[in-house]
Amino acid sequence: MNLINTLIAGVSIGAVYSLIAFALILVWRSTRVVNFAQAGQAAFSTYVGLSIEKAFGNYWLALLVAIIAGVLVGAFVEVVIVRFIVKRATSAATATVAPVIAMLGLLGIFQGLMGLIWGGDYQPYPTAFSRDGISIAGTQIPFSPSDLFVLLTVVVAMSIAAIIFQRTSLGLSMRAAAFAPEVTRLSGIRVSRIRTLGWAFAGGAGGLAGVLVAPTTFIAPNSFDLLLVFGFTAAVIGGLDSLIGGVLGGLALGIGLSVVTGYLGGSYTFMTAFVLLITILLVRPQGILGARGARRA
Amino acid sequence: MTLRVRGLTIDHGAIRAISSASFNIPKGSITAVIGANGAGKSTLLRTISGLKRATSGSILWDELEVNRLNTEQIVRAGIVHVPEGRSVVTELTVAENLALGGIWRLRNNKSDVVTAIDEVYQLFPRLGERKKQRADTLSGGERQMLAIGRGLISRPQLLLLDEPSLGLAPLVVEQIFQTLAQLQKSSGMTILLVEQNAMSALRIASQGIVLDQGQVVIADDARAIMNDTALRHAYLGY
Repeated sequence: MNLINTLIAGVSIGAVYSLIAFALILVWRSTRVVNFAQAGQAAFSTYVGLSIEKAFGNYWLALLVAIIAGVLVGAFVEVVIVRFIVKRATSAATATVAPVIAMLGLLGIFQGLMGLIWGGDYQPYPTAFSRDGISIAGTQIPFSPSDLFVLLTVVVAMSIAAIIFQRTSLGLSMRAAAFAPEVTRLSGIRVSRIRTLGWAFAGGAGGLAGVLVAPTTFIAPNSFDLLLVFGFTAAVIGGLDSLIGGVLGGLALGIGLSVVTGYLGGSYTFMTAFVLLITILLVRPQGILGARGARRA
Repeated sequence: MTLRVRGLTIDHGAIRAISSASFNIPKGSITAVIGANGAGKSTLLRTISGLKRATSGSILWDELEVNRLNTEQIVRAGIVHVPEGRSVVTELTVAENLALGGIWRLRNNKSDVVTAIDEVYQLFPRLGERKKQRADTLSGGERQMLAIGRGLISRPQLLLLDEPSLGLAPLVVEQIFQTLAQLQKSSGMTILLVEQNAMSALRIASQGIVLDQGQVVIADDARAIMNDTALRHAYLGY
């Protein structure tokens, strides 16, 4: 396996890590909560998509429904759970820790619920395009039409997000609320609604990521747990506060892990991701691609 | 519209920040709230703008009980708070910070938001030269102008200003205060100005309120307070 092929092989999975990182960062920026339940939300949305796929045999309808399910579940989690946990916290320390623990608990609840509804077995998820590598000048490369679809979809999704963030009043409100909630509220913006929207967008991104990655990982109640770790690593590479940083971090991680898998073997992949995560948190907690200096929360 | 504060008591946990304060803020004037650090000045403004709840008493904006509303509703009622510390969103550009103050009324009155932004650039030409710059690249004085500008985009009838002079050079303070006085005259808005810099504040104000340890010591004509030597010695330290 030559280097270029190894790099190419990591691009589409890296794009999926980018999506998960995007979702985690969006939630972190809007509410300062590390959303461990994101893996459960994404799996739940993907299961909803799979049910639609089985009922109607339409990949595109299933994709759309999975994204919508992700949006609704994300908004639900914020409105019904997160808002109250943050509000009820009695000290700064509990305000930081309580939501994180609650999200871990919620992940467990999601997984149990999915097991009850859809069973615990790994189920295949169909693809829209072939997963055979494309041939260029007679040589097959490890990049399939399905990989291309994943990459393009993520690029389109991120471009839409970038336009919303940079060019609309909603995006301006979301950025302002992320960095300075009090000034934003004093500017007449309903910050609690903006937070719900942040969770909703993140949920939608998670649902999309789930549908894109499920043909590779298969779908089971806990099949996205590692995706969460990779997404979180990507977010940390990017500096947790920077959406662009997280997206680039996801691509870098996907390609990097592909190199590790290609040259050292698959048994090193997971460990590398964890070592990378811990190393960055130790050495450069503001992220490799992230903003200068620590930001005030 | 008139702001009437009656028997207002505000607690910070176990500490009483304001105890049973009563005063009126007449329409179309500048009122300066002065007093030492820790007198409860900022707490008072944060309660009027709904960032903090009063323990008891009432804040009436004409017939509206402000203490029952949340911050977003209070902004919509015409009361806009510019908190202390040149509070702008440092990660956003000058133009974005100003735009922020107009988002809530964009749907109903987009043209007036555009007009208001133009007016702020006329009022503070230095902001106009820095539209695309991030707010954290501005000087302290420019940031304070941006913070006030952001408040003006919401078209306040009552502008609550917390320590606009804090940490600024005397010349810049003078310039900002002159602009405020001129703005008040031309727009007819009511300004409630909280300041440690008592002299500068009283000079542009028509009414003064002296706070000491959460109590209203005196509420009187600004000039009368400036001329009351005993009062100045006791509470204002000069």
